[in-house]
Amino acid sequence: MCFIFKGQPPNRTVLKVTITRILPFSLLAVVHALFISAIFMDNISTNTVLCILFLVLCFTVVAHPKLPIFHRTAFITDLSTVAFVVLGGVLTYSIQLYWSPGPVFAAAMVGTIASFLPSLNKKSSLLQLAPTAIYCGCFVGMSHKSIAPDYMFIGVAGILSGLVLVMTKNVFQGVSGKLGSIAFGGVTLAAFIMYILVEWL
Amino acid sequence: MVIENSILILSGTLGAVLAFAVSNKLNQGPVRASAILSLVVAGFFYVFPQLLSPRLTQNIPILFFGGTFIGMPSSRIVSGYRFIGITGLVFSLFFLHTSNYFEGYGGALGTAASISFLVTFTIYKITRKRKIAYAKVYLRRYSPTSYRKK
Repeated sequence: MCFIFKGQPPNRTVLKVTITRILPFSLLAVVHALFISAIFMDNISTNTVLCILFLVLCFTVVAHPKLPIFHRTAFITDLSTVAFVVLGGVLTYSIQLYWSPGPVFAAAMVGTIASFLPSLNKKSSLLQLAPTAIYCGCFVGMSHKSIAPDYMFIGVAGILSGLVLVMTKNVFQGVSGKLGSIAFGGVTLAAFIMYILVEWL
Repeated sequence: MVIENSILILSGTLGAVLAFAVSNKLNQGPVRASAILSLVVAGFFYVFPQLLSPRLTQNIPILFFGGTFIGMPSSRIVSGYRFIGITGLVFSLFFLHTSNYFEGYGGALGTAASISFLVTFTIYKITRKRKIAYAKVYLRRYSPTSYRKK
């Protein structure tokens, strides 16, 4: 039955609680809370669903502090991944816009091409980072036209997601859906910024 | 409706297990495993859009794609098809009840997958039982040397 976290992560040390480690963790926790609260609002009248959702919320809250935090440096080098996230977003959005095969097909196509990039030069550390970052960008590019009306939005959402991806490099490793959560955070934040700009300017 | 939902749940679970197998058993890496499998499924429904009902044609690729995210972790972190399968099942059930409020937002699938993973992770942590094997190890480790020699 022991099938999770059976191996110790590399370079694992006892880490002090600092703002740089807590902030990315909190960012993803807020994204999850936002997502669950939206479902709460939809099912406010159904008691059974509300009970299940409450359990889901409790389990999610309990799980967060149990996840491992890794200690790795090279923060500046990782900033190049932001460009890859934007690239992935723009490519997926373009395929969606001009070909319309559906968001899943577009993202899967860009992701498949991105997954072969490290094979071009196995010694390049930059290309080794590319598949994950481009795949994260694909999720940003999957946004519907009603949410992401132009490339400007995809660019802003991609940059925000890229920054969150760099910040969360040391947390949530090995957790399914990490890239999607980051992309969701970026798109939501970009939509919020655009909303404020439209309302205030 | 029940049959359609069952097919959708199955596709999500299948996506998770297949992606985990391709990523770890065939050593293709998480991104390639998720992307290639999703490309095949989405491509199939793009070429044959009339094969199944519109609801299934629209939702099977989405749920399969979301399911593949669950199969992305390394086998060093998560090593068990049972855990991946249960998480895929939870994800499918969770996604079928997802709010329409965030429809069209990129990354919603991944967020649902992440929440499903955390839920299954907590259930596993709560229900985990210490095996008798552990007790044997402790006994062997802490027993007096004279006793072990006998």
